[in-house]
Amino acid sequence: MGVNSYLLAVLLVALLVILYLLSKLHRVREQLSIIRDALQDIKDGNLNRRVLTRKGDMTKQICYDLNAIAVSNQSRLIQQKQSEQAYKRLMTSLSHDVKTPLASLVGYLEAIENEIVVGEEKDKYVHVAMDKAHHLKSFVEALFEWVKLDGGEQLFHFELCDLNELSHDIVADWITTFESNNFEYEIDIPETEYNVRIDANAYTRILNNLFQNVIHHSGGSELFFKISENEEKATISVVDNGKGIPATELPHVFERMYQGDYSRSGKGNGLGLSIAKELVSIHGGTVSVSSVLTKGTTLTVTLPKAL
Amino acid sequence: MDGYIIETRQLTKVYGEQTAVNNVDLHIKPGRIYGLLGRNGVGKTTIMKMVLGLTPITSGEVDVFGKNIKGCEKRVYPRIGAIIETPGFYPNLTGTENLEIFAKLRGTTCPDAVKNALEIVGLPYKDKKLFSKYSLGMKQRLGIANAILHDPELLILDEPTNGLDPIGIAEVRNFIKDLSVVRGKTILISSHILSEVALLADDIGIIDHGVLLEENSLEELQKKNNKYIMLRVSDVPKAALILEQQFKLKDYSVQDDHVLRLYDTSLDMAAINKALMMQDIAVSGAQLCNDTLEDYFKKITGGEGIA
Repeated sequence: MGVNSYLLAVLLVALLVILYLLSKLHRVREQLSIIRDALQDIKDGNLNRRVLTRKGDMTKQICYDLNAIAVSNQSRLIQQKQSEQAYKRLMTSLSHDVKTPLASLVGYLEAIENEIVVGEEKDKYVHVAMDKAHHLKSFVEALFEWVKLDGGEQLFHFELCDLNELSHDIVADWITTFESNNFEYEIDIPETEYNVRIDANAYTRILNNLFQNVIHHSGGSELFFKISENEEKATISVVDNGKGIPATELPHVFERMYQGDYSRSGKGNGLGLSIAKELVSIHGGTVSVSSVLTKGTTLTVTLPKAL
Repeated sequence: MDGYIIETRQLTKVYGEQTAVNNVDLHIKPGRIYGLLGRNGVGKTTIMKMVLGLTPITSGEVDVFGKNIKGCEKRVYPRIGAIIETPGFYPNLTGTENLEIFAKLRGTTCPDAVKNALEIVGLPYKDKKLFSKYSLGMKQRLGIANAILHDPELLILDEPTNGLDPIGIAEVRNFIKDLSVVRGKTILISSHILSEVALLADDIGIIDHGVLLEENSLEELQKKNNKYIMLRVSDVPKAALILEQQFKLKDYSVQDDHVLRLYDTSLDMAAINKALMMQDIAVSGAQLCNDTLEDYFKKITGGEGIA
């Protein structure tokens, strides 16, 4: 009697264990079938596919690893696609930017060659053609500079120098240009010494591009340049009172070749701000823009003190 | 991946005597943001609910990931993340605790799922704030975090920016855009705000009274939105010269060997035509493209428009 009931109990326990293992087996099978489906999908190129797993699943680590592989492959693929697209966009807008001035340049030259214009008018045409050719030249130069920067080919010489003094020198060279373009200006640079490690040429280029942008595109009449500094960083802002940039275009102003509707006709080459941005980021700084329509635009550069 | 992520065929929903959704054929492409645009109560939410199996389909079919969802719901729904109306959370738990419950229920794709999801929507991880103390914007974000917790391939978001302030809208818009651009997700959103959809979506479907009036890419729709005069001429350089010299025109661009775009739509086309003819330039086409998206929507929704 004692032995019998003992055996029965053992049998019952064994049965329960078997049932438990069977259900576990079923669950693992189900998981494996899901994993197989997902793997097939990933193999077919759907890198978005993930496998869900719960706490205590035997296949948990496998699922996590599988997902991690899909995620990293996907982000690499997306990056590649993005740079391809950017390149395509660059090429399209480039061809427009070259075609338009080139077409009118040809028009002027043809008129001169066919002697449609003579005397004073001819001189005027030659002058216009010359301007256009120069514009094209500077565009192509800027483009090469940008390509060099983008490709990381440009070398920089970082040196410790006084940001305030350097800024002062750069701004001084711009005064005549501000005046000849009828810009009122206000300059606010601290008198103190503020040493940062920067490439002086690159910094000059950054300021030049910001000023050029105001003169060519802002349509304003006042320019305010201010540097404020603290222990961590220097903040350089260029403010104008021009027509402003619509909110929908703001996120794009630092993109290469981006010229808002309002500035398509004007001078400039759509590269100035993106070159400035590249240069600032090489210095570990940031650029940002804020704008109020019809009131003006503020471009802000920050450079870290310790590089 | 080719094909569509969501495809519906003659999808119809009838409530009693009223047809809420009428023979809708949606085509949602992988990796893109699809904006379902229409005024309140025209059937957007009902369509989403039918795709998610939250309400029975009267007639028609829904394919998700290239397969009819009937019969394989269990395999399909884990690959979708959704918010329809206000998501339900436990008010006396924190955001992190709430998400941890959902992570346990649904399973995860990586060990840091909760942390990652919160990071994407910009909410702090392990914050002590209870859900009941959340602002509307934070609740909405937590809802989206919950929808992306299991890193789904497809997101269905019903009015994700509803009730948010302008800054909140911009933030939500940014990370939705990121989910698509950086992470390759396919996203279906609904909205009744035209400008919102125009900023976010790649493809747009316009719904009115349960009927899909138009389905097109934003790019195509925006072509109808440009304001310019398209001029087809025999000699572009010569035409450019005349435009510059006689009409003092600078705001134009050369599209190809025969097509110019003039961005000032107030020009006297008759005079330009005449001047070009006088110079032996054949004008084979001049077309005013002057339609705003708003006008266009008014036109196709039958005059009422979409605010």
